[in-house]
Amino acid sequence: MFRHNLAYELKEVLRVKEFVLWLMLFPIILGTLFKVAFGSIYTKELFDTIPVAVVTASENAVAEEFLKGMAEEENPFLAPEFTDEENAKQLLFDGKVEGILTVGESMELTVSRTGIVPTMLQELVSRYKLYETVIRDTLAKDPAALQTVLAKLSAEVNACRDVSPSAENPDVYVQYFYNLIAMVAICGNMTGLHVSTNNQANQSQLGARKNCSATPKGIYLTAGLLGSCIAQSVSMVLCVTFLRFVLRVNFGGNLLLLYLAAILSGCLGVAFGFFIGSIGKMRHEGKSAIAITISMVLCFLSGLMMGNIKGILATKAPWVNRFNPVAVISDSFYCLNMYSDYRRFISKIVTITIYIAVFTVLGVLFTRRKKYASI
Amino acid sequence: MQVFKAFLRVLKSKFGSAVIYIVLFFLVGLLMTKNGSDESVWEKSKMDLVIEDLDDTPESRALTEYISKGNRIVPAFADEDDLTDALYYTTVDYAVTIPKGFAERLASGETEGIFECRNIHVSYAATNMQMQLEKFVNTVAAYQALGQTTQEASQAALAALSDEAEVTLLQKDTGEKKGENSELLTFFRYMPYILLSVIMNTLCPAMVAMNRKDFRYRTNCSGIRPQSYTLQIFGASALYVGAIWAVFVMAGGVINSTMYSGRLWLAVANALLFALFSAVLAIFVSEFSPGDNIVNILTQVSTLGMCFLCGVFIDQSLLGSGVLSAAKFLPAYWYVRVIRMLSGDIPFEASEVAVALGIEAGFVAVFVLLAILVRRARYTSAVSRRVMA
Repeated sequence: MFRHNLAYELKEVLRVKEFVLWLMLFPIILGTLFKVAFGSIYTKELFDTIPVAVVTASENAVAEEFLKGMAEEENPFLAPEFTDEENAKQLLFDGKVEGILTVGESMELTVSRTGIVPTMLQELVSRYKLYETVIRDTLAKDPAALQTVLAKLSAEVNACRDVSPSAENPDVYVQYFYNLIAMVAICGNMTGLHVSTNNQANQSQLGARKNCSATPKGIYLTAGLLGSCIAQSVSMVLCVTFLRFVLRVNFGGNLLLLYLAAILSGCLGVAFGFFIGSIGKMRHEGKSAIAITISMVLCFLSGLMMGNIKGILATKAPWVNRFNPVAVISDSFYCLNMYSDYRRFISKIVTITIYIAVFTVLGVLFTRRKKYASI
Repeated sequence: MQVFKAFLRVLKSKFGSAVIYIVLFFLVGLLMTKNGSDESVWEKSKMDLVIEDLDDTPESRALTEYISKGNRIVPAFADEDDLTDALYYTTVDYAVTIPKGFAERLASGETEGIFECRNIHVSYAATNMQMQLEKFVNTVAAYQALGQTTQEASQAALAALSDEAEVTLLQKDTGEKKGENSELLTFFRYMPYILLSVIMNTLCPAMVAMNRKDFRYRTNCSGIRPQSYTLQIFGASALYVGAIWAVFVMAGGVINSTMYSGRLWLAVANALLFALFSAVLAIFVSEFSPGDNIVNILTQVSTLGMCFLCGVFIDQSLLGSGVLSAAKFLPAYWYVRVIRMLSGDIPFEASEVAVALGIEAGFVAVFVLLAILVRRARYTSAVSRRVMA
């Protein structure tokens, strides 16, 4: 009896056109667009040699030596282009250089915008001014020590001991893919909604027939949920496989655990839809609109549209990230990438499992006693 | 006006989800626009730092004072994982721990790995912070070489390092100060997403309902002329879209108390054109009579795809040239381009703004024609086929 129901449930899910479109085509289309858009953005945000225009107003051997030193390091800080003032301004306005260094008696900086790169150039000029200050102090106190002082001032030191957390893939844009998988998972609510609709006599003809049949409600409900979870799991596996092996997105972490998290997340989506579908007597279309709107709001809060929103919420309202099921799903992928131990990943998986249990139990409670006679 | 009234009644029933989107966007708009800043005067870029001073000596305090200057100090996290998250999401740019024994090691000239540093992205901010830390160590060492004690050298270094270079901010004369209206323009920049989402999610189902066979057949056998029917539908859609647009424009007024002035009216016109585009796209899609879920797919794919490709969510300057070339075939690219010109990100050229607005208007016209074409092909031919049969 159960197997018969399960088989028909699977057939039914596959015949729902939206299921195939939403859950299989959606990540393929959006994932490809994401890959095209974000493919190389992260590398642009990493530190790279800063191009500057250098205008020589009057000879200053010290300044020129200083700039050459900055340009000839192993990983040079500057890429100077010596030119005249007019051309320098043109280069600045065209965005080909980040600033103009005017070398005369002292060094002056001209930039066209504010931001971290111009601030770094300011630090550079301040460093040159520091040389002037220290030399002045040295000449006033102990001119004989000038060489030693200058050597100390320009010595290469490695003062920073790097104790940074190790991320397998530090690319912050990979979180958009985490959120895409989370969105596909939560959109599994559509199949969950169908389970609920197809089991209520006042929602669909199929529900009416099922309610009249001799099959116990527990059996066709369990078969429906299991069938939806299986179908959703297939779509989650396809989604992860496409992103990982076709688009070659580096998720970081153990891939098998990523699949596990994705499958559980899909079940969470199904349970969520089942829960929404079980509430009240609203028509299927209305419930579907509610489920999609809630899902999109949750996706937004998880960072699907604004990548930094999760970070902002972590400081302003951390409880949102803790309770938002979509954020929990994307966090589980993030934890696999960021943390070599599985402590946080396990806590996220436990949270997802609790959500599945809570939504399913609530759904069952709401559909309880909804017999033909009582609707 | 029967069709007009009926259409508005159907729209009203679909408005619930739109309200959620509008309220959410307004709240997020408020949140985002607080980050806007005046870029017409030079201001050092502030970094978000976590500084943990375990040494608590005059030397470590001098260092803390130096690196705190001009930056935002974030309180230390009780949980190491929270710090990792903050570094990943860049709510913290860099974390420095000054370990116990820092002053002693500085005094003995032992500078290798004197700080514990944490960062995840090898960003400009992280590199800058590392440079500042090493600059402090070098300066202290230089003053020590002058015979000063470590404590005196730290103070001398602090004084010497406080002398910051002046910066001249040179901007092309565009008549508009860069960043002057950044708050409002940030609000406008994100508007394509919400306009498309709200309008497609509400207008499409309403149009699909109007295109339902029973409704269409009743209308066809009534005395209403097809032209009048189409005009009433377009009129009601225009009224609805106009109302949505007006709500957002007024919301912009709430965000920026000085209201709209000068070139900012171009941003308002730009938003109107995009709202119209959203409406005609919705009408075009609904001519294929998709189900609610298909509408959702198309809405999400078109809004998210267009917004990511065209630089709504991610700055156009970060997108690759290939992506931008493809984006030129989408109206959101031209929308964002106008906003970037108004905000001073790229030079303002009146002719280029006109071209961008013209292209957006062109997209509107093309989709109006496509919608009419599809309508005629689908519905007129269906009627003809039945008549022939």
